[in-house]
Amino acid sequence: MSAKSFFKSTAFKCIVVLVGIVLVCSVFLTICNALFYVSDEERLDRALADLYSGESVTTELAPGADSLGDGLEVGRSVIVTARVVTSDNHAGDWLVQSKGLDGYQNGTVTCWVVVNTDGTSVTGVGAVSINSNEGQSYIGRITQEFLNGFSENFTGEPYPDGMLSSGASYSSAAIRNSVNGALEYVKTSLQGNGEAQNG
Amino acid sequence: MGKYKKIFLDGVIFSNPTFVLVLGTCPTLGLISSAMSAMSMGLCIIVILTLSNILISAMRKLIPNEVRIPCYIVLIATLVTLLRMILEKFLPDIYSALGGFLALIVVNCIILGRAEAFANKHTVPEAAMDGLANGIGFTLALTCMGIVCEILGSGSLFGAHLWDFSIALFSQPAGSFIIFGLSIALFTKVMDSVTSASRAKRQAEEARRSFEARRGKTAKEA
Repeated sequence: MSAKSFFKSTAFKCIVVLVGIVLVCSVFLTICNALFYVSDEERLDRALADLYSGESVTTELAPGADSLGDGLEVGRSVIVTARVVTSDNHAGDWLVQSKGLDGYQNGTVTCWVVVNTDGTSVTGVGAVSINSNEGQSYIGRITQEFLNGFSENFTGEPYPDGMLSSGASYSSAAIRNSVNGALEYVKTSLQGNGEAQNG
Repeated sequence: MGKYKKIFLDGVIFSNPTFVLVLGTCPTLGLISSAMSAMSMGLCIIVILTLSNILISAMRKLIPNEVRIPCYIVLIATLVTLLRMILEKFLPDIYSALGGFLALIVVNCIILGRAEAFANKHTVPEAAMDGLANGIGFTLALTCMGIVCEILGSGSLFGAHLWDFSIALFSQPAGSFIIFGLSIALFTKVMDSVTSASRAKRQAEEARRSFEARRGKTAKEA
């Protein structure tokens, strides 16, 4: 086949059209991504509005959280970031973004967990809010009642394996792992701070 | 105008994608346990289906037959990605509620089916009307089944608590499957009855005309 006949062939036309469509779509999506990108700050603001029912709350990076990097594995969760509330109305609260493992088809659920502390120990779970998920088709079935259950059933111990939501057992297991990981991380951090201060 | 009316009625009733063509079963079974998720998914399908039909119809003479399916997939995937971005930015609650099913719209049989069966053979306005009609048909079907499943499975309607009685089976895909089957049976029964009544009326009308014609002929002969 000569070069001239190739450029006139259907195969060439197919390649040109397909590549053209792919390129146009890519450029279009790149522009849209820039327009509709949800920044980390926006996500944090949404989470704060959800966790504190729209109350104005300011936060800063928790002590030691700058070393988390790509995430710190704690139990069956990965701690993504941790912040402490600086406003007077909720002083002492820790805000932990924790990715719970063992979701449906090994997916994950990332939650914001408010851990109440008195400065030296964990005193409760203030609230839990779902931030994002990977491949959890039934995440919409997680009810607010289930999330409130973490505050109501706080004992200081990790939440048991049986704490699941009917109809979304894998997703709820990932949420439970996320909360357990956040509690463990805050406990360890507070102990570390206490030891550092004593030392 | 009659052509558009026919396309609309076909999409919504006579060739309803859920009850007649039985397409898009995956999101149907996954999402009808909640009326709100079912309706949200339906509205997303309306947007994607209408836009994809318009694009595919507009480009039908440009796209070679040999690569039409990959081209359709790329176009549909672009629209779905765009919709995901918009929902995540402006409607995060709906974005979370739809979960993985939102991304699965790319391979939804209704969208690819209408592109292949209708949009690449018709003009842009006709394709747009077909997309809109099929989307509305799908949304109505999903919302109706979602209402039944939510009332039976959770004792609530669009999230508003109605009563404490509930049957947990109907908040699971197994219960959704039962409701789906019963809905198809009911829809088919109603459509059969309507078609039979319409046929009987037409036959009666023809018989009356024929009788009158014969009587007129006899009178003329007399």
